[in-house]
Amino acid sequence: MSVTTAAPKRGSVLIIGGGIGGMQAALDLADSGFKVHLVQKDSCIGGIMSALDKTFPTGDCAMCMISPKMVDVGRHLNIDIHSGSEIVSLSGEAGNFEAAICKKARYVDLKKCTGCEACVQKCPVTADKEFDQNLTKRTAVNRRYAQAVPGAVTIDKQGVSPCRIECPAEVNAHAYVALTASGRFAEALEVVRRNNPFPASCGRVCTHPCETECRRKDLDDPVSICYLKRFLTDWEDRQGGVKKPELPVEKLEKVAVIGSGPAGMTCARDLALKGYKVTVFERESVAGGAMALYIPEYRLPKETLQKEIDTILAHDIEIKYNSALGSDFTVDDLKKQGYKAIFVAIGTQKSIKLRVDGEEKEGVWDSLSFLKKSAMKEYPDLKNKKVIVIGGGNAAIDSARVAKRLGGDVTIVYRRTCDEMPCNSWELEESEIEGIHLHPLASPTKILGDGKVSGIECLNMELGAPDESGRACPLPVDGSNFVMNCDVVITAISQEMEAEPVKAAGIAISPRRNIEADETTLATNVDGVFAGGDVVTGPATVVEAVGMGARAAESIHRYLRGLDMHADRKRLADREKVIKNIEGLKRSLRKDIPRLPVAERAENFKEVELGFSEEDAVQEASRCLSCAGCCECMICVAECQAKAINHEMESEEVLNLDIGAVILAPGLNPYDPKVRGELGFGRWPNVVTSLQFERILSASGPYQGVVSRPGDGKHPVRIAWIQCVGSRDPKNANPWCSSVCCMYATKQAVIAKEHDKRIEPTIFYMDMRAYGKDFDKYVERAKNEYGVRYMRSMVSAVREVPGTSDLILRYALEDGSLMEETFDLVVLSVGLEPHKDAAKLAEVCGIEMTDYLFPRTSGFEPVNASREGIFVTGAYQGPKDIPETVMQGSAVAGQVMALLGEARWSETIKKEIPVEKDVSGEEPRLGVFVCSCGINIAGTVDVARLVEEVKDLPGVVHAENLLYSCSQDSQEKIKQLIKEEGINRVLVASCTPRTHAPLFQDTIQEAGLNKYLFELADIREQCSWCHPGHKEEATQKAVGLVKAMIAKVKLLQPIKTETVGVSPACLVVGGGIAGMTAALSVAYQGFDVHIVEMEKELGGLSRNLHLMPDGSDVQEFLKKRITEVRSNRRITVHTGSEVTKTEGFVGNFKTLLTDGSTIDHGAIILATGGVEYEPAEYLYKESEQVITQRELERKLAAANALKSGERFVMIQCVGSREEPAQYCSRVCCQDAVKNAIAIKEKDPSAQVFILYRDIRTYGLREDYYRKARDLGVIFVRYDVDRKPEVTQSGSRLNVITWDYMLNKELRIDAEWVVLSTGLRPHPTTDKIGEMYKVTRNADGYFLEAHVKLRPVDFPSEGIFVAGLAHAPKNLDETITQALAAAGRGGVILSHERLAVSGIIAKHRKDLCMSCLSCFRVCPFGSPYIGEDGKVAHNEVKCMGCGICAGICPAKAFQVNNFRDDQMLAMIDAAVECG
Amino acid sequence: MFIPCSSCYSRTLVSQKRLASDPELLETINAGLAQKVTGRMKIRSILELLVPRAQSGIIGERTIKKLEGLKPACYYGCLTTRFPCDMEVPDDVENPQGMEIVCSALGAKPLDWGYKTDCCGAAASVNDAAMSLSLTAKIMKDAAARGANCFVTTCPMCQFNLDVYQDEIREKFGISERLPVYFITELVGIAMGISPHEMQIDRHFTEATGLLKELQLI
Repeated sequence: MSVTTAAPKRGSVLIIGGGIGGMQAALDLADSGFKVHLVQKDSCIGGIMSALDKTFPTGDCAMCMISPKMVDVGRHLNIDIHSGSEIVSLSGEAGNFEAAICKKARYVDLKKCTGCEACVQKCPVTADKEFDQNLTKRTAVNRRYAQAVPGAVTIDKQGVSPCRIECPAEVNAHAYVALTASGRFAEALEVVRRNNPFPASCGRVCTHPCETECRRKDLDDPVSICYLKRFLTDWEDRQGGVKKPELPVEKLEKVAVIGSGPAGMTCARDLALKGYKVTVFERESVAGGAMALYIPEYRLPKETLQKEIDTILAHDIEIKYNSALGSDFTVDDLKKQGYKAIFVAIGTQKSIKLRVDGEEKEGVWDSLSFLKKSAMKEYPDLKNKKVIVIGGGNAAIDSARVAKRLGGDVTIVYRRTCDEMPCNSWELEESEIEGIHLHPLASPTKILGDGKVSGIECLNMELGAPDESGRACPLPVDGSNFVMNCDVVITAISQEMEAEPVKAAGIAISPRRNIEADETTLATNVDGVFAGGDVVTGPATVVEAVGMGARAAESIHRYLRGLDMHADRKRLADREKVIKNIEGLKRSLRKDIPRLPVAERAENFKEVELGFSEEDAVQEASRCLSCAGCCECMICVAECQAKAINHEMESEEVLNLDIGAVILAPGLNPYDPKVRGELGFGRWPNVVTSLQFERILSASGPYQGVVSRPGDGKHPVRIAWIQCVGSRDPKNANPWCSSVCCMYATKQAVIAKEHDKRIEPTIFYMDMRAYGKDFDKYVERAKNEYGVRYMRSMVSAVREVPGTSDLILRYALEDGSLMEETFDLVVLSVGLEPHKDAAKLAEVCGIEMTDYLFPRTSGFEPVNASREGIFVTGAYQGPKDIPETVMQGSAVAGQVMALLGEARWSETIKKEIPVEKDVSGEEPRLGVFVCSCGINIAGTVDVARLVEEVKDLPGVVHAENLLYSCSQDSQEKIKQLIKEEGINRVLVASCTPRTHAPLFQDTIQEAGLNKYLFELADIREQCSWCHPGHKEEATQKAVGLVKAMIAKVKLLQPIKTETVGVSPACLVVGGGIAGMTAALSVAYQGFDVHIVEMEKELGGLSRNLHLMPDGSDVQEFLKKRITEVRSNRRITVHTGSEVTKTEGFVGNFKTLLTDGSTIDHGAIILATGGVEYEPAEYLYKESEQVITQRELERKLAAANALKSGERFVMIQCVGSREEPAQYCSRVCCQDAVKNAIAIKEKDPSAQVFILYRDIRTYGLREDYYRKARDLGVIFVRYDVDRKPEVTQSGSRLNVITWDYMLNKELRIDAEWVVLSTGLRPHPTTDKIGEMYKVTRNADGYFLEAHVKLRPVDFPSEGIFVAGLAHAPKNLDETITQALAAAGRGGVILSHERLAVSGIIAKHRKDLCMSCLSCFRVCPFGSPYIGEDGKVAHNEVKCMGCGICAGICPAKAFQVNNFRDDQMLAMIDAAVECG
Repeated sequence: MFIPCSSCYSRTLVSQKRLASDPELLETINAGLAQKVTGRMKIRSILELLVPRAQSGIIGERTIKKLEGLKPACYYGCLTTRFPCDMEVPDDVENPQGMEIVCSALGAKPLDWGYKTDCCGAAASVNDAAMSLSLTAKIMKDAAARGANCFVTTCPMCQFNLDVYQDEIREKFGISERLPVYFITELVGIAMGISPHEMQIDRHFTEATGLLKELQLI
């Protein structure tokens, strides 16, 4: 690809997705001169691979493989990771794009957070842990997993929970419920009291709007939030009551609060906490306002209320009883007495009259007077009296229930129906239970009686249109008058404030007869006078009054401190309310609060509602759904010693980036198996997904690697895997094959068996698609060595066995007989589908998608999206496994290098290193830094003692303990000490050198020391983490570890690292599609390329290919590519020529060709291709009617090649999957399907039979298999033990095969038999392998450096592989690998000089006896025989593995920093410590 | 039209769908009919009637007697959620919840079990009785093992098949439990105070009033 643009191209690249594919591309690009922006939606990179247990075929731990890569990405100077981010727009063109990135707040400062997880230990909120596939829980502040990069924690904050938003006092219900659920009652109560000093009272009488809005109500019942609050205070009482508050010593101004109800007392307390001197003026002789006067004792015991009042007064608050505003003092009086601000909270004390005749008669009470009398225990005698209560509010119900307790026969008369009653519904229910009668739809018109009440006259009502309160308006029914007899009438219509004293103070009154106060500040029109509670709102609830009291306190504080009254007074209601998705959540019913039996309530005022037990409270609190994730209890802020947590961050910010190219690698989503209901996932606990099973196997997973069932923890023996869940099913799921499931299921079966020998694995499958390199061998091993049972059958139902929770699988055998079999655990091999954001991503980036939502790519340009400059990779491009994803990662990197080659190094930064201090001749002066790692180390190891033990050792000039040695300020400190104390060797005792040694090396380099004068003693992973609870022993071990390391550090010497120049050219061996593609990519990157092709023509095997499965023309493509290669001025083609010999090493190769030319080059790509198997079976060469797929393809390419109605029989796996070629040739299935489709499309009357062993049309190729079936191609399975037979009978061929479905022999009479012949390694592979010292696998293909993560590299640096030389593969895969090889080559060629590692073996010629031991064992070929005939050592090739040092009898080899003297010193020191 | 039987319901729905999508067929059929069909009649199953009312709370409110202690295995049979042509199913196909919602609203505690959408073999009870019995036996065994104390059905055919042959099944397959089989409306009726006699619950083949008495529901 070569694109010219008007503006200069940018040298930076945007990569979306930090899975293994994205990381590979990022590293390749950043290592070769590009600035990389890596955008990752999650809080960390690593993708799906980080969650896997082991990988096949090597059984390597996935995390151990990916973790170093993540560290490399995380530490790379030229890679910026944007975690928690998404791309929102993309404009511009290839070479010059502008992207906008939306970054979600992490609420944690990445620079400050050290990942110590102290906050995680204390976070009360739990949610399903996504990383463990919801098998375990995580906290709201969390790190996805221990090795996450970036390593900082993140806070899962999605807004505000509905319960919090709805509370008028903004009490943090979510937080105290969460804390209660974890049994942390004191902290929970502390959270309540922050906003509400009346938890015990509100825990009884609150109308709890929090519960009304609790999301749980949509699932079953709301969490019993209110009673939990009460429980907390009950618990506190049992613990010995409230602790004395801590108040500021210095006192501020005097403030007066008028009224000791909830508003007044809250305001008083909040001000006292700020240091104001508060005096409360109360008209009555008791404090508490309406709570004390009107709320009956059976709801709120006086004692409970008094305790809370006392607790508040303990804040040095003075209270003056019997002091009423107006009669005892005025506002002006208070001002004169020096009160600088006044809060008026006198409530509504006046009952509103009924305004009917007879209201003055004896026996008529207003509810307030009635309730107040009762509260003062001056009970009116109502024994056997008929009592009518008029009204439907809480005062009415309270009056009725009190009257009932005093012996009355009580009826409530209400104008509307019960549904419209404004009282709490639960109060109404209780009154009914207590035997109170209700008479709805009646309105009193007259109170009857002769001086004393004898009854009331009422009118019947009916409901009309809604009035202004939104309730239906009651309308009188004319002429419906009736009389109710009674002895007592209690009117409970409403209340209002006593206006006179307010008016007298000059305070403005609203038309609704309340005080007029500013909505936000609660300031009245009189300077310094504020008002709140019922006096402002009219009769309302306790919690509303509490809220206003708190707001008034804030206002008075601002007023007295001269602060802005309005600024930053954000209310919770302004923030986003979170509506939690409750789909699929399990129901669990609300814990009922115990109540006093009705019989025990009569004639007493005992509290009706009894509290929760501790157990009940925890259980009830655990029902909380944690709607918003983080509950903002702020405990994490207090826990974080690094001060990294910041809840005030803006929730989003947008970042604009200028880049030259975009790589899309968002990865995949596993299929949600809930859609396949018959398999019981989500219903039966012992049915798990394959990804869950990965976690079950993982040592870091929910069961620490012990294979257990999620349902009951039992160790399963019979485990079934069900394949193709969500794959190969166009009707119910995805039509494609997910490519990876056959092998991962096999691997899981093998690994499970390795974990627990008793396990009996069974895999239910349709076709075993072991199509990759060495896959078939792995499956054979699983079968033969591990006893994995493979059942070719699909499971139609999974049912649970009652009692045991085992599972019964129903399936049919191939002959149709129905089976039922019981298993202990079922694993669903879920398929892959495009990432859930795939469609959105495609839209933002303006690229085309297929109907399946994969980006549209072509077989010839497999990683190019439809828009120029945008590349796609990994499972986003199509379902694929790890090596292919990594390969595509390098391939897109190669494509970007080709596009932006000229802009290399234009936007990268280089680290400036100060001049190195010469320490030679100096005595060792050690600085030892012992890290606490928060509590990670210090919690187990006595770090202070450790410092003491080592600080006076000879050579140690400074030893100190650091809280976090990796934090920024610690780095500065270390640098400073190096300078001040003249330190010339540094030892840090902390975590693992794997992640942290490079950081400290950078630091000492910045302080002028050689970076090899550093060592790290691992006292976390190797000590504190493995010996928790053994402080003494762990400390001793840590001392030993550090002392041993000190002994070594004293012997450290500076190491000078070499660099070598690079010849900016590449040699490509092989001129097929792979070679040409790689050559073009390298040439476009700006380097010279030499293609060496032994044949006379370019093109290789593809010269025999005509069609791609999608119908595109291979020959045309080939012709174009050859022209492109021939015309590129940077490419020199050497046809009819071979390599004679290559000398040198990475960056500096010299190659001699058979045509005599000599080439200097820095990299080599081996693309030597393969050959087709020439069959000797099935009458090939004996009958002209027996042909290969290639010959058929040639025939089909010719015009009018087919006669009408001919019959074709294709035989698969000819020369594959049996000795001597025990591997799948990968291409034959789609070749056969492709040609069968071509035949049927040309001649629908033709008949095509395909005799196969497994149809392996993996990935999106499955579409062609289905198309062939739809066209009527007949597929017949055969077994390797029962192969088809072909005989010639005159002009026709007879094919006999066994049909396993019919269970009988099939005889097919055909014109043509077509053999699907496999692929073989090219005959030159061995020779080339020998020449370059690169190994081959058992089948003769080149063996890459690592089958998972280094699929195009060899262990020897600078040499890469592509195409059939590596393994059989399809054309698109060959092209991908060629691009990848070009990308990897580009990484080397882009450097003018290459640095050589300091950790290499040093060779002393004076000691060497040239015994050649080293020469034989070195895997990298670095020892060589020099011109003097003696062994010499090429340090550039050396990888520092140390094998030579181990084997050399003369000790001529020593590895830098691992010298014998250093090791022995360590051992001596360790032994000394015991 | 309101159709309790799953099979009738399913067949009628399919006919409706075909008539709606095939005007020619509609014409052919109407040609022979005095009263013309339009294919637009609303067709409802019993659950489509009850479930919304349970969800809105109406059923709960009208309940006089909470069915406490009743642990029904809700049996939907093979056709309630499976239609022979492509059409929207108003419930989860494999694990329907409609009856559970109604029963919970009545105060009963329905339990999850494995055979709620399995075939009971009613269609074969005449021509292949042994097969029918073996299918019903599986259903019986699972419900009993899960601790159910009764069945609830929405299809008269299912109800009949589970009810009539229960003694035979118990004997043949050695099942000790005997589970009354209620039609869903019978439970709604009990909860709303209608007498069992009025609903002829006392005339089931498998005795069905004893359990209700034992639980003090009648």
